[in-house]
Amino acid sequence: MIEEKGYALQIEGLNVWIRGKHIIKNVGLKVPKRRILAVMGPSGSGKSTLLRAINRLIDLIPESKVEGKVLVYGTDVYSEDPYRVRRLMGMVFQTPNPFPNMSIYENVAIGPKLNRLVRSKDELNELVRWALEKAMLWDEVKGRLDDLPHRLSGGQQQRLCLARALALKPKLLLLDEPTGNVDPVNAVKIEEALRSLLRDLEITIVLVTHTPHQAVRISDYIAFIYMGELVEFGLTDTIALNPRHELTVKFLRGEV
Amino acid sequence: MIPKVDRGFFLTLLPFAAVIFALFALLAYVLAYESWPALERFGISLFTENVWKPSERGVEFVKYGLLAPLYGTLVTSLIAAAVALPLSVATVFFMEEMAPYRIKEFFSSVIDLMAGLPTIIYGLWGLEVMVPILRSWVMSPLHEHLDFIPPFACDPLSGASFLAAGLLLAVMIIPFMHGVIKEAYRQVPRTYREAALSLGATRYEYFRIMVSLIRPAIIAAVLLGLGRAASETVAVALVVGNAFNISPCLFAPGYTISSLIANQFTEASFFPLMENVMFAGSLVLLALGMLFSGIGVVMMRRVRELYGR
Ligand SMILES: Nc1ncnc2c1ncn2[C@@H]1O[C@H](COP(=O)(O)OP(=O)(O)OP(=O)(O)O)[C@@H](O)[C@H]1O
Ligand SMILES: [Mg+2]
Repeated sequence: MIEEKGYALQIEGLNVWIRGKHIIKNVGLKVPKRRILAVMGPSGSGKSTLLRAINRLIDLIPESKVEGKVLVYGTDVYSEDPYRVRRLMGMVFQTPNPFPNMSIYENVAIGPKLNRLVRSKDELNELVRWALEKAMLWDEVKGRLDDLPHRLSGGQQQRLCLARALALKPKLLLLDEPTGNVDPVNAVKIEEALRSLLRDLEITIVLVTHTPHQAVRISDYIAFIYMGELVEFGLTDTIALNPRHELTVKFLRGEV
Repeated sequence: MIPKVDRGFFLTLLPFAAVIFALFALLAYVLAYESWPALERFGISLFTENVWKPSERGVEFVKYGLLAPLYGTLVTSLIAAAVALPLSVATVFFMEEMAPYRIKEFFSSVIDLMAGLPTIIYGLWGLEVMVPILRSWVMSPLHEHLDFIPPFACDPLSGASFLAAGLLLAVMIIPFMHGVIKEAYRQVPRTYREAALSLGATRYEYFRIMVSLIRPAIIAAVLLGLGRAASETVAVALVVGNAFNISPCLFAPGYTISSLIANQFTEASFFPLMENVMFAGSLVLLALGMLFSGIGVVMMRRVRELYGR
């Protein structure tokens, strides 16, 4: 596959097997830069697995096999060192998982430290603050950066995880149902944060979501996955107005 | 409150639990009671002086000070923990992260087996195999070339020494520390591993994050390992050299509290106060053991609170 200019993410002929089970079936899609792709589909359809195939966390799962191509900003994910390609991306997981033994500050600082993004303490402080602001959490935690994260609410923890991912200045941000385990107020904050990211930064977002409303509200593209197959992919406006696939219709109506 | 149906069962178990506690209390009491005459006679000097003057003539002619065995216990346990810690952390990481499943299970069982071997086996192996090898391949060369460094300054006479005891103890506590660390390592949920790797951590950086995630367990393993090393008896008695010696040189023979008791207890009743002195020594071991286990248990609880299911 040749890199095409303008695309942040290109997936072609992607197949994933886990313990012999075919989980992702011949998925192909392209997302231009600075757009949000919403990935939707019923539980167990392979959404999380798709994200893990993009940043190669799939390598962690024993007896998993991947075929096909993934290009992230032109980098062929499966022909590079996994840790190098992961540095292009950030990920926020289905349940908040800040490191429980690190303070709020350290949770955000760890990425830049690992990747040697900063040269001085001041620069690091600046970056931590920037990431927390971008995740819309700064005002709530600025007075207690040294607290452990278990003192935060679930929604705040999830925004902390968003900040942790953002501190790496990723070009591609992978979000696995970031609002799935979060109250509505926090969900709105996270959505706002995502939108402002796209305004201000060179970043592209892949967002797995269960809620059709959320997808329609904030995404530019929608991919609909059913049993590992990509049954529908296109511009959000098009799909929301006239979904071609019967399953998509049902899902958008909340019937699947 | 216990439900009524369970109360009968609970009441039948109560005596057994009570017996255990009572036995332990009795043990502590006997140790303290038997130590008292020695403590009363020698006071603090029992622990701050290095003298061993038994005499059959009478109480006024004897003098004891346990500083040398205390020093030996400290030095050998510290060597053991310092050597065993990196090795057990490394094997846990290797087996959990890199070894293929079959190999992992195989080595896991081997290590568990090692933890259960009778200690006399380690002692004999140490005496017959490890000490000679250590003497000719490690101690002698180090002494010849680096004898200006105090720990290497003395000639390794028989090979039985602080170093030999420390290393043998390391071998003996590795399976145990490995077990403690492995349990904690397996408790860390996958999501934290994924978080670390998603940040672009290399293997080494990932290793460091994992270590920081189980740090309380590592501290616990060290403390519990130290406790084990300090209380190990027969195996140490065979390789430590059994000399009342306080020396910075690791190749010199020494003593530990436990090996002292093992060696001398049978004759102790011929000499006034000697038995009491040994009880005082074991009282120190008991106190240290309780302290270390206490902190260790608190640390393990912290791990369980963080990741417990
Ligand atoms: N580590 C794993 N081991 C075995 N099977 C797995 C593993 N991870 C995922 N699977 C399987 O892959 C399939 C897709 O799972 P995945 O988590 O990607 O679904 P999902 O779309 O994210 O679902 P949800 O909406 O519930 O999060 C499921 O059948 C699941 O059992
Ligand atoms: Mg999922």
